[in-house]
Amino acid sequence: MDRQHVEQLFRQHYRHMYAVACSLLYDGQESEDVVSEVFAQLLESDTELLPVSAEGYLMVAVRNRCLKRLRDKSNRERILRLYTDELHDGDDWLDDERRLKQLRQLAHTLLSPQELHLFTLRFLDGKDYRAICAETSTSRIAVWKHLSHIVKVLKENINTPEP
Amino acid sequence: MNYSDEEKIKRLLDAQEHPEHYTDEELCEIIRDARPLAQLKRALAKERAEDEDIDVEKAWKAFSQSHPESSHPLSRHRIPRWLRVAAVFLGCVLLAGVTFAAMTRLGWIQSPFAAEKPEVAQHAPVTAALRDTTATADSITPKQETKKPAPVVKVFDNTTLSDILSAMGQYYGLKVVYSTATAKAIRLHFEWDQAKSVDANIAILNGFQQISITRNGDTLNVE
Repeated sequence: MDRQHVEQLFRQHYRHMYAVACSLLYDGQESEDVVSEVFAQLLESDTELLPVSAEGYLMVAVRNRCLKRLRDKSNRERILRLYTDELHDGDDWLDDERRLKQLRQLAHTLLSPQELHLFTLRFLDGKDYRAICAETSTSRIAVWKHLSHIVKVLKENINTPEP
Repeated sequence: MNYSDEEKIKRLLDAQEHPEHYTDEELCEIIRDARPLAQLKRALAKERAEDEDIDVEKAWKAFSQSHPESSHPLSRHRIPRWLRVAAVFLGCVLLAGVTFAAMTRLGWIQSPFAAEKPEVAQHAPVTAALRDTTATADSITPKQETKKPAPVVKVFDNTTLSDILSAMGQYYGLKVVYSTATAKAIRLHFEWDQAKSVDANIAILNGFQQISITRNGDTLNVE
């Protein structure tokens, strides 16, 4: 693809592609790498994208590259970082986008700000119990109980279709 | 093993801290249990990434540096795919042609385009090949030949003088004029060595008693 066209697409879609990659890999650097890989491939290929289909193509390309990376992760990594095991290459990326948006809204309904903060510290930032206890000035048992409650609520309210 | 909901939650939280305490199979089960958490984590991770202050300009510069534009004018992405396919195709055709030429040259295969071997003409009476000359009552106009074949010895056996001279006239580019029609019908056995000059061959033909041929420039006069 023409370099000028790649640059235009890069400037137009980079943010969104980066966010999609982060929603799967949870890692800024790895997400940047994946987005760069997609544009590098465009630069080397003869693919021509119509304006109407460019966004869809790029999002699917990012998603599939991320899923490929996830498939290479061990089960230990999966549980430690809570990687998804539900998505497949052929899934509709727009459906996924809508679902993530709904989940954000649902989280604010289901969890209190304190619980959401706790979820972020433990599961999103990956902080251990000692760090969380220090930051929230609560005991380990209290943190454990809060997290147990959060997990229970989410399991009861979020559907997880079989892959 | 069936665990209660409470136990599953406990295992999930514990596995997150100590995955080494669980087998791969157990981890698979726990991962399935953790799907709601993974979904929410994805949603929050995306939200966080969208809120990040991303410098696209800086990202593009970094990308440009790691993927510089090739200075070569024929770099791969500048050449359209169809042109590359055409180039490969032409390359294959050229290679096949060279190979075929080499094989025919070495005698490994016989070219279907090659002319019949001269030896055939030496032994077969020339008859049919000569019928395509344009003949008038008193003269024969040689055909325009673009390329003269390699000289061979052609054997005419019981062939009319008309056919023999017609072939020779065509070969040497001469016009044949008969003063009498009877000379045309004379039949003879003649070995025409094309490597010899026309005059040398005429001299041989004139050795026959009934034949008298003289050459006047581009014309053969037969009496």
